[in-house]
Amino acid sequence: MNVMKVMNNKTFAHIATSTASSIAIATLLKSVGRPTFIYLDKNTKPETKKYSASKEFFYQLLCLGIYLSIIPLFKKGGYELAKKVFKGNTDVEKLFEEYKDPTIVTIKKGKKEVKKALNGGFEHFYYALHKAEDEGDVKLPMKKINGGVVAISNLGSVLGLAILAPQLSHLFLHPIMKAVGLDKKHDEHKEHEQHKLNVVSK
Amino acid sequence: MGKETIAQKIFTKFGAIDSVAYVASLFIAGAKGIFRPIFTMMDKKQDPDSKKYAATREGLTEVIAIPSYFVFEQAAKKLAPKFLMENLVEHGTLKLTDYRTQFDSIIKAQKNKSKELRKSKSTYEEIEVALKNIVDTELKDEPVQRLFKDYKSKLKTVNATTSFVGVGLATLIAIPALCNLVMPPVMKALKNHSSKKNINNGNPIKNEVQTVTNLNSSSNIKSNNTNILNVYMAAKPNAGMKVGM
Repeated sequence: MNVMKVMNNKTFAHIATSTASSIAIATLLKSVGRPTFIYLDKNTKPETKKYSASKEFFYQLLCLGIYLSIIPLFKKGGYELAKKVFKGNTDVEKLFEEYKDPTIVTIKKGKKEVKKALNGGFEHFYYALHKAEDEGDVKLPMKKINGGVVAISNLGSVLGLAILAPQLSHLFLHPIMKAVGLDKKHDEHKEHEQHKLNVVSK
Repeated sequence: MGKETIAQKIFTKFGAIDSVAYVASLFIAGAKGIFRPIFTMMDKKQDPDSKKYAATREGLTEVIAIPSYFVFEQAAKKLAPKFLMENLVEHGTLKLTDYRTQFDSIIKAQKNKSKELRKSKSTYEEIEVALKNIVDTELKDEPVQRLFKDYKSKLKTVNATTSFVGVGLATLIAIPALCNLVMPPVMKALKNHSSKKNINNGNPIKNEVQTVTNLNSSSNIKSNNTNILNVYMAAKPNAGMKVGM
């Protein structure tokens, strides 16, 4: 893989500048990195490491699922809110005038190229934004609307990953660990340790 | 156009962010550092000691994460220009290599002007006009101006991708590795402090064991090396006392 080509790739840049894509990928990386380093910890017993690493893996996947299901709402919500916030701003209103006429665009679906009609709205805005980014010509009104999308996406990211995910994990993580046969073993391990200490403390 | 509202100012500021992944990661780490310990302490099913332990660990993880993201972002900013492929920035006979030094000094002048105007509370529209004036003054030829525009655009691409790779490396490697290094001695010190408190209060060591076995099931990361450490530390004094038998 040519590192220089990847770092200069426009599609990779679009992913890097999208809150939703970049945070989703970061969460996926956490599901790999954290369990790996738990396994590398030499101070811990193998059974404990296995339990902890597995729980961490499932927790991060849970976070990813929650995040991917809620973030499209926040992105679109951010766009609609930004339109309201900048109502009366002549430059922004001129921008939306351009989107009133439908645009036929060619998009790639796998190896095929498909024509699609964009009739204003969030998808149209994003197509125009990426085109402007590629040409290095993102005008200020576009940045303002995108700023709304980014701000509300950040809010969605915080709500999803810092508040919703820890609460929902209580419900889902335990059954998942039980289903893969790890919760029982951890309980047995805890019982074994408790028994050892009870014997010693007598 | 009238005075900007607070919401307009916030959205405009967010629209000017280049390192989106870095900013979002900071917000998430900050929020997790606050809310996860709070939720842990609110858990009524856990005993107080194990709640304190789990909450401390969760808070520590984000305390490690935030400066890690910052360090990697600064490194990414410094390294990004080195990743630019100069052959991608060419127009006819004009080559970037002939103009790069001049372009870099224009970009530096634009950054300084932008900083100066933001301090004097100028609007983004006024800043954009001022930055364009610098380019028009320094570069008279239209083809060279187009080359500069292309250069800035490609630079923005590598800035974004390098920043994202920095966040990725921090997330995948640096933060978990630092947690492995920093957590055990910190949690050991906290546990020692808590054990001394319990002994001074006349509480039996058994409470320490109970704490270990009733850990919060939804806690992530480094519960377990310190789990075992606690079990060992709780057992050791007892074992030591029994050696004379």
